[in-house]
Amino acid sequence: MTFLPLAAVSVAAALLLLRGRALWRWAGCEIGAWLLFGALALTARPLGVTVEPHLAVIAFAVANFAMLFAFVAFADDVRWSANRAAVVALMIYLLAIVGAMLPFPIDGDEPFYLLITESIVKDHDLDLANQYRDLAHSATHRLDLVPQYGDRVRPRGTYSRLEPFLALLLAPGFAIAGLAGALATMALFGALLVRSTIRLFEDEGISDATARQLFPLIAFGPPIVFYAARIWPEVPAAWCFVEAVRGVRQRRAVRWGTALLGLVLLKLRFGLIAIVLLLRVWKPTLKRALIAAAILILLAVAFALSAHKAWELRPGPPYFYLLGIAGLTVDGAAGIAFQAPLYLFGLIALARWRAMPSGFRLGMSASALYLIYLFPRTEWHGGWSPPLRYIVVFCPILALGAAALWERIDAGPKLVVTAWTLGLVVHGLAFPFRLFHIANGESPLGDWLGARFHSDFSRLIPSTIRPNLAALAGGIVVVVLLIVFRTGRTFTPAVAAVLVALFFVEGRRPGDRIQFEDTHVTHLGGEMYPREYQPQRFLFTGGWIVRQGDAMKFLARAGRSRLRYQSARGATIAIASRTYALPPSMEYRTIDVDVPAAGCIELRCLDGAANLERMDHE
Amino acid sequence: MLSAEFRYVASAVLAAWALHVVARGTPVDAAMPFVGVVIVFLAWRCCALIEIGVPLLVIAAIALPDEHTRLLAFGAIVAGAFVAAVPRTFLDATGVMLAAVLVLRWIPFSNVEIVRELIVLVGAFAVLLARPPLMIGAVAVALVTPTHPGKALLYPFIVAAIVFVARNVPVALGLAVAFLAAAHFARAEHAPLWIAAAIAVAMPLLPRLTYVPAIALFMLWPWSGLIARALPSFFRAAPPPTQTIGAALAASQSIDVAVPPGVRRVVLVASGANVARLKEDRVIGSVNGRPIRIGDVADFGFMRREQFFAARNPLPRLPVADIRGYGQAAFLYGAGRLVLPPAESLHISAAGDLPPNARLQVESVGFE
Repeated sequence: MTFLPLAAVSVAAALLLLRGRALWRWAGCEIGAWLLFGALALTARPLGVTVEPHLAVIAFAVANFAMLFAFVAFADDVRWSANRAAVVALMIYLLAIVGAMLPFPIDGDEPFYLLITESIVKDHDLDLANQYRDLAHSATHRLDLVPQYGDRVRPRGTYSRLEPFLALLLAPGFAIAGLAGALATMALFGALLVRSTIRLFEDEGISDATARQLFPLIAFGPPIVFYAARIWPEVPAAWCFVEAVRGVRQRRAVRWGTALLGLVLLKLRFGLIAIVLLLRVWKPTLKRALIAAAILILLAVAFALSAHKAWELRPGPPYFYLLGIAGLTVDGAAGIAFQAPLYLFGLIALARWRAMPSGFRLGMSASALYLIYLFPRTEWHGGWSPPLRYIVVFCPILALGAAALWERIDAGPKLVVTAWTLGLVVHGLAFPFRLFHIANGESPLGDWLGARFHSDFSRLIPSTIRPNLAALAGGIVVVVLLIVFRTGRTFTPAVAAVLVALFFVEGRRPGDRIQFEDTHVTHLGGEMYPREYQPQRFLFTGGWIVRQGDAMKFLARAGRSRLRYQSARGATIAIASRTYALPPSMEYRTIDVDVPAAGCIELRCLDGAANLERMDHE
Repeated sequence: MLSAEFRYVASAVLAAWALHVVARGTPVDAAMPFVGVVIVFLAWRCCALIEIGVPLLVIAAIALPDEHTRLLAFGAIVAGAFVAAVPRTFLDATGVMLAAVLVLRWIPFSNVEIVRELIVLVGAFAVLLARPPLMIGAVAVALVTPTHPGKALLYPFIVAAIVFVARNVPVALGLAVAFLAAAHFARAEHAPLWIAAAIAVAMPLLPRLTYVPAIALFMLWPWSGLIARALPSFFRAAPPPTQTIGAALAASQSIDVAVPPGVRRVVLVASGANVARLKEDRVIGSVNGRPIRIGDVADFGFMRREQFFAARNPLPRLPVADIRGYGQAAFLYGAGRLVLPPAESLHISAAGDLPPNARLQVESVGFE
């Protein structure tokens, strides 16, 4: 991100949103901010402070826009409308794309959507066989692409399992400017989503002051900003969903019909939302019946042609529901509490159902069937994607719930949520590749702290991908929160600081369970199991494979522990000064080991090979 | 319902505990519980939003292992808190000013001379009282006030009297210009006093944008001694070369240093010992015939808080980024860089007329 576009977008956004005294005061603060940034840069050299330039610039840019939006939120002299908000959002998304996203390769489903787009634009078909053959000339800049599980690879052609509608929407932008054009199209959908969300707020009686305060947190906070600046169908789908809800509320059949059609075409799974919404609006007039029938027929045909199978529509076992619900709420890597804390207020709004705006109740009830099928899926967390992929579609509706509560919430929780959101945005824009996290039960935060302090912080961060005690505790806390939350006035920033400090202190102590693949374990040889980028990695039991001569160091508690492993040929390991024979076993089994004293211990493989999964203190 | 006072007392205790638990290492880290209390105080008196500084400090203490990066982050967060602390009453202004002076002068606690520092606090209050509620001048005056010799403690009171008298614009402007001129001609050790006085007098005339340098400097409070005694040279400081020599030459002693072939230029880092009373341009040695003067280098510790006021050395023209100490006790090591043309070897000798206990210290050399 260079400074000139940043300055230009800042000024343009301020001119669009501020006027009079507020504009002048912002200008003074803006100049001051740039001077301060310069002074910091000047100071860094003699102090010997080295900060990654990209991170520094992103952090400054985020702080700069935070300052602007603080003016927009609290000043009296503002120019505020949904259209202005949308234009500003478009500019900032484009800036994020150019400055933060484009320098890094696209990932997850993105390159496959782009391949389809390329095929549409260049070959006028959906056959990707020639695209896979000629990746060197692809705008994806990814030479490692191969057809994915679920793709139809036939002699007549290779067809992606992904719905082509998004690619079709991206085609004009791609034809004009390649990858950048496709991303710009996504930014346009992001801006449309912002406009519709603000209009939804207005429709539902949310005050301008609240909308102005929440606008930056919704539009430029996770998860929307990360999906508006990348190629996923979630943001266009969220726009369609909001428009559908608005259409239903305003009794405009063409609007909700078109929006629902778009929603279903973007991703078949959104058909589950469309079905409920159709049932909600069902009143037998000919026009509505025709629209509903068209959508249902389309759904049925699309389902028959898709990679999805009928068994996927069977409800999962109850435990899986629990994992999905708790995971989407509190999981450190993929849950709302850690990855988009603003929407915690939306969850609290769910618990105050009757007091919420009608649009919120309509939107959330329309999501019910979708959620019922999402919760028990093993891939509830979204797989290889930025966090919260599967719930981006109704984030604007959750935001409406948060907005309905906003004025009742004390400054403390708002401040903490805002600060955490800013941190997430800086992290996600400075290191877009870290938005993708292998589903091993750790989170970026746990990974980083573990590697930095060689201590297991991940055990304190809730995970339902690899269920831990923290997830249970976090789930209970959220349930209590949903019931007792009034204003949050006892949750002051100082309380948040104490929680962070307690987390840090406890995290540096040895835990009861050591997962050998985790980053807090110092690996001296060996390899991760399964390999890092194994598709659907969450279906495997993770571990670390050691062979003769390999070793690991980690913090452990003194006393007897139980080591879980799998070894085809058997192995001999040493922990501290004692040796243990691991009998051969194709299944996972356990042996008892003794740790002589608490602290950092070494586990060494003396002979053979074994996949060591974990060690539990008894 | 809890009263606001009780809520902030509880927050102050929690903030102090949280920062005590996570901030370990330097004297500034040790003082972080106190800083946490200061942040909560600012939140109580001025703006509740400021309290977010406490968790940010905790996160910085955990997340930033590099000492200078962490302390600079502390500096930026606390500076941000003071920027947001817009006092509504004179009492609040006094509180904010006292908090700022405590942060700038009372860290590390072990170096605080209570009685003298209390006098400085009273002096700063006098400056504030002379022209309420503009506190930047009072803080600047407090920052640079030397505690040694004792008579220097009169400085803030004299400034307060001047500020009180110079209330109309022409007089204030004239005095500020005069003080700045005096700073230009005064010796380096006295220049900060003149500049702070000029700021205090001219404060009402300055547009708000001039607060930016004040904020930028306030960010350096973990090394507040540098702001008081090492500006502006500090910003020119560069890291020293890595090849250490470590020789201290008495009068007429010399050493030779081999220079590898193909070198474009040589950077020699040298300082003096027991030369703080020598004036600018006094030759204390030479390298390959080029004189090494006070001004090229300085006494290694003349910028220490205890010695600065009485010293005669100017700040080195090309200083070395070697910061010693923390808070008000921080000082820039007085070594200077000499950039030399390539040669086969360096012959470095101390001047024959150096005082008996004075030394020319050859610190390190770098080849480029």
